Order: sequence, then structure tokens, then C-alpha cells
Amino acid sequence: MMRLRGWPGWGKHRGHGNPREMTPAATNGGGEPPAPPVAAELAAESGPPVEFVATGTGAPLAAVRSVVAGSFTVASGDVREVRRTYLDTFDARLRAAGLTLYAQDERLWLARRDGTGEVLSEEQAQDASEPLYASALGGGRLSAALAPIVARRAVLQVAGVALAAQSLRLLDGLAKTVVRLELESPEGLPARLRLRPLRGYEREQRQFAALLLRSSQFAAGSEPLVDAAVRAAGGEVAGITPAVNVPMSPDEPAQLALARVLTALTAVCDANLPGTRAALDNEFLHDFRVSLRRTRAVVRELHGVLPAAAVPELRAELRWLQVQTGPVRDLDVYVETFDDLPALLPAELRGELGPLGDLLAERRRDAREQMLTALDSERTRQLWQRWRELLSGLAELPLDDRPDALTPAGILCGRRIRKLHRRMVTMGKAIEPGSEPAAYHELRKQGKELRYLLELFGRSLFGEELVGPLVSALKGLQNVLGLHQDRVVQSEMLFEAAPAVAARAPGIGSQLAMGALMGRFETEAAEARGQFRERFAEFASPSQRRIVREAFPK
Amino acid sequence: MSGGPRAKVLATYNIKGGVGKTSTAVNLAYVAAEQGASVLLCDLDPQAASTYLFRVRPNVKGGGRGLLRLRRAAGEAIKATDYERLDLLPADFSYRHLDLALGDFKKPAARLKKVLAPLRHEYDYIILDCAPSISLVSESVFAAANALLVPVVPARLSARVYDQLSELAQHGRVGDRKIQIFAFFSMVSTAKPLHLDTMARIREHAGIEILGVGIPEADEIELMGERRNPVGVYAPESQAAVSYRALWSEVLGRLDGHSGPSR
Repeated sequence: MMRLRGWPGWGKHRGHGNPREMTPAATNGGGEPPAPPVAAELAAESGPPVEFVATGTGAPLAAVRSVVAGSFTVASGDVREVRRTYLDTFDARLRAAGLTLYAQDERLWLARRDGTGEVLSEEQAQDASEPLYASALGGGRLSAALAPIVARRAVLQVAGVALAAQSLRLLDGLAKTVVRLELESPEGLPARLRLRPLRGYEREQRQFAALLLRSSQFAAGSEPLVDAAVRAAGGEVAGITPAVNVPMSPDEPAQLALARVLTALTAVCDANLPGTRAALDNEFLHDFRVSLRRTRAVVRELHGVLPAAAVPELRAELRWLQVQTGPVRDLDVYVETFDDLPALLPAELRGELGPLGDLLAERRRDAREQMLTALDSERTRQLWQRWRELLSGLAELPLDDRPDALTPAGILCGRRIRKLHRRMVTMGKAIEPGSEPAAYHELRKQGKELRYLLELFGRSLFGEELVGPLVSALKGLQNVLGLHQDRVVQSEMLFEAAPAVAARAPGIGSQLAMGALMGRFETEAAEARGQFRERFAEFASPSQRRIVREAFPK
Repeated sequence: MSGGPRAKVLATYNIKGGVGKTSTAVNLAYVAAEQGASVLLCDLDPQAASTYLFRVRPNVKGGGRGLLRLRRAAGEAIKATDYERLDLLPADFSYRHLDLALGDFKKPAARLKKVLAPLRHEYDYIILDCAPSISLVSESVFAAANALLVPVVPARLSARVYDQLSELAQHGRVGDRKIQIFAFFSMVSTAKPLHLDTMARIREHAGIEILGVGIPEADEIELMGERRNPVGVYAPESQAAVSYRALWSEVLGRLDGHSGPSR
């Protein structure tokens, strides 16, 4: 079987390739292109590999020959036709981690995106057209490398390229190889030439790089092939994440900033729907719901920009959609974390959770069916249609029932941020150790709205330097409130599920186990309440309040 | 990376010249790299035959003294060969005075080991191609090596072979550490009754262990100088190439603490 190694280098020692590829002409190409070169790298004594992109229209091999004529002779290996499929999570976690994963020649290759292009792992591939999961890749190096990065996210195809790969060598006067090159000519994209490190021949490599850059036929590569392939396929190079970063100006009319933010949030919702429907992994639904919740927060907090007559129904419909997707998300989390539960129990009860697990899995299946029915319903279709019409035509709508439409975004958002912060301070002060869980939950909901405003508008309007520390203090508080709410809800879920579990498992073991878990969750909720005061004090400290007062307008 | 040494250091050694040391070093280095190990071949012979075979210019900055004296000299002098995972520390004409250069140091015998120490983290095997002699350089090689690969030409008087090997066994003891000595028949011509007879007599000698695999006298090996490549490149199916692969396999099997390259 033909085996290609992208950037031969199995370990720390560069230039290590396929054991079978020992003859010079057989060394091979195919791998993640390195980071774009910079002048400093070219000048370095022993820099990382450098990638060049053909800019001319002629055959790239002929171009190389003409560029090096008089300095080196070119020896070329066989041309290999290669089909390469790039893989990543929907939110491009591997890319963010500086890695590239691809399937080629029935193998999976994990390589660095950086200048070394080092292949970290390669193994026999499963069918890469199906979603891959780190947990299902066995216990090898690839699984170990991927698991901490992709967690439970599905690894999906993000782009495919058909390319002709060819190894080239530049020879000196003794016919000694002094430069190794990999030439890749992807269909529909410019050819790429990658300079591979060759110990002891750095001077020749620099000489060659300089010759290339001086020629009009190659330019320093500006983006890795994977990014070019994703872009060419119409994909988002950086993946789809719920993070929305919309540039805006404090003095622009609020309606313009708001329309852009809501449009971006809607795009995230849209993008996550197919994965949600197909249940590729739980994060699609999660990211859909986060974006929907952010949308609702913006509508609620900045409702004066939208037509007053439309807002109540809009809010009701968006809430309805959130509710339709809520049970599945809750059950996703329960099922996902179910395996952690036995460790919380005394040894004799650890085997008693099977009936609860079965019940949760069954409920999840039912909830998914209901959710899919709702997502595909006429009601949902109409909601999105009206929503899109509203956003695209917002600036043209009458202003008489939209008092905040033309208010400068900085004024309007700053005012809301200030007000929300003050409200949270008031609510938090009223919370005492004996307060009902609902009081903590209400504060948490306000905290989410504040955080959304800070992240969606605050960062862009007031700058990271100001908003960053506020978000950080808020996160500390929200973590405690989130943990508290999770434990309260989990405990309530167990109490509610107890009769159904009892009907399935007549013995007392499951009930005892669930009771023990409830006790554990209630204890953890109490501990979270115990931490509340300290975290709230950080959030509502005089210095933080002063910053809010001074930075955000009344 | 662990702090301790990793690469096994093997040296081709014989007091006599013309017994196949360089061709053994070059071909075993190639075979090891072909099989997936990372290999450094150090050409310590001022005649620079290994260096020539890999088309590398025999030039080490600072020469033999620089190599021994400067901390990074060896690493900086290394050249990649045309083959994946196989690097070369070239020879330099000044190595003819390596004995004198070693004499400058307080512990000359330990110097080469010190020079190689950082490189042992980078490779699975370091193969030393040594000049034919018994000298301070030899002492230094014994101190650095885990094992000696000793080509024995069966045409030579067998009594001389016994002397050489027992002498080596004495020289090869460094403190409490005993260097493994892998003697093997080189330049064997099975068509010559003298070779067969000599080989049989040496193998019967109780005090001497000779590896099972021998390297034939072959045109393909002699062609190395013309082709400037290991035999496995231009005649991979030849008896010579097959013998080198078998020899490497036997050496690996007998090497103390060998667990194969970490692949």
C-alpha cells in the first residue's frame, strides 16, 4: 500500500520519514503545510520549513527548474495522485490547537500546523466520511492526542482536495541532496512548494528560498492548504463557534449594531441546526441554545430598538423555541455525565443506577423526537421567517414605536449594562444563606443577560481592557450560581424520576442510590451557596461598581 | 525526553585496514535507517571514505581539535545524507592528528564519549567508523561504544585472528563495563577452500564467538566507491545487501538492553 508521510518526522528529530521510503526519489509529500514564512524565519540559522505558493501560470516543476538553474540541479520523484480529506470539529478545535487532521491513503494523519509540520500520529483510518469520535479511535496515540482537544465533539470532514504530490531534491555539484522539497498541486488551487529541513544544509535552503522569493513565479505561502481548501469549499476556516464578535462604533445608531449582532447570532443558530437534527454531538444543540438565549437577552434588554408591537410575540415565540429544546439539552448532560455518578456513591450502591440510566436514555429519545417535531414545525418556520424579515428591514421600519432605534449604540448599551449591574448588586445583597434556590437562580439569569451584553456589545464598544475584568468577576459569580442551579435541578430531577425508576426496579437499591445522590447534590448546592458571598463581594466590590459608574453612561 | 543516554553506540573496528570496516559501517547504518531507526554515522577515519560515499565534503569546522573541544561542534557539523533518518558526522583531514588532540585533555579516553553524549538523545544508533589502529583514538572509541563490530577476513592466519580478538577483549574492558564484541566474517568467498577451512577452524575455537552471518566478497560492495551509495540503494536484492540486513538483525538480537527503536 502506498503510504504518504506529510512531513516526515516521527519524533523530535526532523527529517524522519516512512521507513520504506529510503531511496531519494521515493521520498514523499502530503501533509499539513506549515505556517506562513516570515523574513526572520528565512534568515534564521535553521528555520522551520517554509511554504511557497506558485503565482505563475506555468507548470510549477518547470518553474522550479528555471528558478534554480545555474545553482542547483533538480531531481524529481514520481507524481502521485492523492485524495486528502481534512477533518476537524464543527468549531475547529484542532485548528485552534495548532493541529491538522486529515485522511489520506486509508490512514489518518495528525500534524502540526506550525512551521515544523511534524506528523504527530498516523494510524489506519476508519471510514472518514462518517463522523469520528476520539473515544472510538481506540487507545492509540491518535486517540490520546485528540481526546483532550475535541472531547466529545464529532470530528467531521471540513474539506477535500485532490492533489498531485511530488518529491523534489536539489542537488549540488557532487550530486548530493542539499534541499528537499514537496510539491503539491491541488486541483483548483495554486501549487504549493514546501521546503523540508535538511540538517547541515541550512545555507543552501536559505539560498533556494531567496531564489524563489526573488522570482516572480512563487510567493511566500500566506495560509496553510487546509485553510485554502476550506475557504474554497465555502466553509468557515475558523469553524463555527457561538462566540460572536461584531465590530461596532459607540456613535452608530443602536439599530444598526443590534441588527448585525442579531444576524450573526441567527447565523450561528442556523449553522448548528443540521448537526442538532442529526445528533452528531451534543454541542450543536448547546451552541444553538446559547445563541438563541443570547438573541432573547438582546431582544429583552434592547427592546426599544425593535417595533413595540412585535416584541411581545417575538419574545414569546423565541422563548417557546428555547423551551422546546430544553429537555433534550438537560438529558444530554445527564446522560453524558451519567458515568461519573457511581463514583459519588458508597461502593455497595454503585451498581444500582442502571434503571435510572435506562430511564434517562429513554426520556432523551422521546424528548429528541418532540424537539425535532418542534424544530420542523410550521410555527418554527414562521418564527424564523418573520425574524429574518424584521432584521433585514429593521433600519427602514418606522421610528415612532422604536424610541431607542437611533440612540447611539454606546449610550444605549452602556446604559443597559450599568442598569443590569446595579440590579444584580441589589438582588445579590438581598440574598441570604437561607434564601430560596429561586433567588439564586433569578440572580443567575440576570448575570447571563449582563454577560451577554458585555460580550456582544461591551467588548466592541468599550474595549477589552475595561470589559475583560468585569466579565472575569462576573464569571466567578456565575460559576458558583451555575453549580448551585445544576445541583438543585439534578436533585429535583432525581426526586421527580424516583416513581418511574421504582416502577422499573422494584428493589430498594435504586431508590437508595438516587437518595444518596440527592443528598450529595444538595450538599454541593449548599457548598455553592457557601461560596456565594465571597464571589458576590468580588463582583459587587466598590472598585468594580466605581468602574461601572464611571465607564457606562446613565 | 529522558535525561539518560538513548542511542546505542556501535563501532566498526579492526587494527588492520582493508577488511570491510567502512562498507560495514555505511551499509549497517543504511539498513538501520531503512528499518525506521534514526542513525548517525560518524566518520572518524581521516581517509574519509564514509564521507566520500555519501557525497559529503570532508570538512568539520575547527577540525579534530574543534570537534573534541567545542560543546556544539559535533552537532553543528552533522549533515543529512540523501536518506531519511540517516545523518553523517563527516571526517576531516585533521583527524590524522586526533591522537594528539586527545592528548590535550585530562581524560583523553573519555573525551569522545563526552562529545557524543548530547547526540545520543537525538538518535537510536550512533555508528563509529574508525581508522585502523590501536591508539588513543581506539581507547576513546572503546570508552564510548556499547559494542564493537569486528570484521574478520578468513584468509588471514587464524592465529593472528585469535590474538587480535583476545587483545580486543582486553582493551574492550572499561572499568566494570565490558564492551560487547561482535566479530563476523567479512569478504568471504565460499568458492575459496581456504576461506571455508579457516572459518570452520575459527568457529571451533572455544574462546572466540563469531556471528553467524558473514559478508561475502562481492562486486556490489566494491561498486560502492563508484556508485557512492550503500549497496541497498543500487542492488537491494543482491546477496551483499541481504547479508548486511541479516547482519544488522543478528547484531540487534545480541545487543544488550536492545529493545528496538522507539517507534
